[in-house]
Amino acid sequence: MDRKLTVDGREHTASMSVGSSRVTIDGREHEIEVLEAGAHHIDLVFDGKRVVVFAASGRGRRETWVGAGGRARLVAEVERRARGGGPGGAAARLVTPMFPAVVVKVLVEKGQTVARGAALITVSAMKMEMTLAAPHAGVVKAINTKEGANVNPGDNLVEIEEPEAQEGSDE
Amino acid sequence: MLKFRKVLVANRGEIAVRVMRTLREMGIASVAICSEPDRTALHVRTADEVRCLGGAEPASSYLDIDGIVAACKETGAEAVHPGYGFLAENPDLPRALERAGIVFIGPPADVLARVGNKTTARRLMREAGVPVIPGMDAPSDDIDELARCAGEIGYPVLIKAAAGGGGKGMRVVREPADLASATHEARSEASASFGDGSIYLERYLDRPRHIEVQVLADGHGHVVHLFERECSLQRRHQKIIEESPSPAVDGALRERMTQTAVTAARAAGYVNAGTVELLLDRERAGEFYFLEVNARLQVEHPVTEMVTGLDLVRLQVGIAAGEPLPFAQGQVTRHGHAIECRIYAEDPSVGFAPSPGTVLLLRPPSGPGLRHDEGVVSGSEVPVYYDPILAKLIAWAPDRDAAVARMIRALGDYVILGVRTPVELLIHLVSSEEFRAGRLHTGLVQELVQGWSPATEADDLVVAAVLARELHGRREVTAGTSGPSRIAGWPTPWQRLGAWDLRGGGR
Repeated sequence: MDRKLTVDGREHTASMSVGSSRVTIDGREHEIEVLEAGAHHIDLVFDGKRVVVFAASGRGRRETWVGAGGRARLVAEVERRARGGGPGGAAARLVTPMFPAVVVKVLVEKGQTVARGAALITVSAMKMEMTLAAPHAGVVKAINTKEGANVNPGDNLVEIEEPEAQEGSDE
Repeated sequence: MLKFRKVLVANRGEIAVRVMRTLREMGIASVAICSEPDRTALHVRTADEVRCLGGAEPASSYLDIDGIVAACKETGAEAVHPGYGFLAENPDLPRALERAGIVFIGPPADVLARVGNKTTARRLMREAGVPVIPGMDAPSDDIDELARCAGEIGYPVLIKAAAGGGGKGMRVVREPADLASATHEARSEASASFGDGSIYLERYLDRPRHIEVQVLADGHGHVVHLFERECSLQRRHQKIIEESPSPAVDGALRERMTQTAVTAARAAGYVNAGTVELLLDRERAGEFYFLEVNARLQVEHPVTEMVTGLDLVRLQVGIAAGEPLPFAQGQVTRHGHAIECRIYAEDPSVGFAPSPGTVLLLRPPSGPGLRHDEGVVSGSEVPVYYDPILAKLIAWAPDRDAAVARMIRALGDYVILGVRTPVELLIHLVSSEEFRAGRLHTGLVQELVQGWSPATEADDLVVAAVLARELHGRREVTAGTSGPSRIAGWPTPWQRLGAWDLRGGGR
């Protein structure tokens, strides 16, 4: 069965079956033999080379962190409904932090007209501040957060209604 | 002379743990303070007692002076170690402690006020004959005055928080048009970090070398230095790799720099452990300027401890108890070379963005000449509210080349999963030709990060390992047998594999 997985966002198609020592990734065949495994490691031979790989899954999450040789990678199952949201899609127009953060200051009010790139909201994480800018010009339709709130990537903090005349003009 | 039986550590994370380790070695009980989200943090577990002061916001916990004084009274703590950051350089803490009859393990309030304010310190140092960078001698809120001063000094200029440290509230301004927004950002960041938003300007030196001298002063007039550290490798004005000795400093320069540092410490009337930060100009050989006095234990103090064999926290406690320094300058020796790498919760592949979350697995390297100072363990939460520093890895060896090789080996063995860290980038930095040759400057990290990205060639191994892990989890669950059978190349079975199923979402 083909599986679609991402490694730090890079998508790969892989297949492997129980009892097999062969894994196919994006059409490339590899030999794999597991020598020993524990709660957080696998001692394996991969294409003839012995390597110890460390792994840990967040509780109840469809993702696994994998570490080897000083590198750490986040492997996630590609969710069907999440596909197709590439650049330029709805996600690119969200006013959302790139990391979990706390709202320091809301810089605009509902009903206010803002230019593309205008500062909307300041968030802070680990004492680093970041100002979120308007992805396009328009009128502030809703502010979905307040100062002191915890916010996460994907949360749309400020909704901006695009004036009809401007539709597509700043794409 | 005093003898402390119990000391409160007014900090969190790796520095609180590090201080408590020495306290235990000295037979002194430790009291932790914490915020709500830190109730199970490593520093709390390391302490003998804990007082939870308040909510997640530093203002209601780690910056709560009244809460700290009350915690001392409740627990009977006779002294407070402030660590670095938070209240470490705020003179209000020692003042409040003094009123309550509690000893502050650090410089007296008046010294903190003198050197902690960067503009006051600049004036003081100039009067003592210590070279300072051209810039303002007093902070200003007036954008017109800042613009005029910037014009006089000449762009690019550096905006700095007068109360600052650790790169917080600092902005480089290259053109007059950017001054207003940078001023606003710096002031807001300074205000959030230090509770004091005042800022000033000084000339921005192009990619200097950042070299600092560790000093120790007791309350009996003795001042000694413990040689230099080089901290030129920085991102976002915050250090990431430090070492001692500096590859840029020869015997003659070391003599001049350490003497300048001792002069600076004397001029400030300094007592306890402190650091005199200097900038070494790359343009003019051997020219250096006073940057600031860090009136606290520095993050990077372990490299000094590794080359001198001294425990700075033990010495701080002794000085605070009124003891004279147990050695004279001539007895301080230096052996070998030490390098420190900071392990931050951040993602260097997206501009060092903060990466809070849960540390799912931490497995630091071990072996000869290594030291790991950590504030987290497997399972620790990394909250969004505090500094991103998780741990520090220090490698010591008889010479620099061997220390570099040891650090590269150790970073390759470093396992930390669940939050992003710069470990992979650190390997790239330490392995670079520039680092190996000791050609360091404050812009080097930025140069080396450009064009760098995490390696992708191991993706197949990573995917294969995840599938193998998952299949074995399922196999173990379905087979449910034991004994060393081997089926189709798969040795089986192992212990309960728990949350191995990637798709099943664990337990």
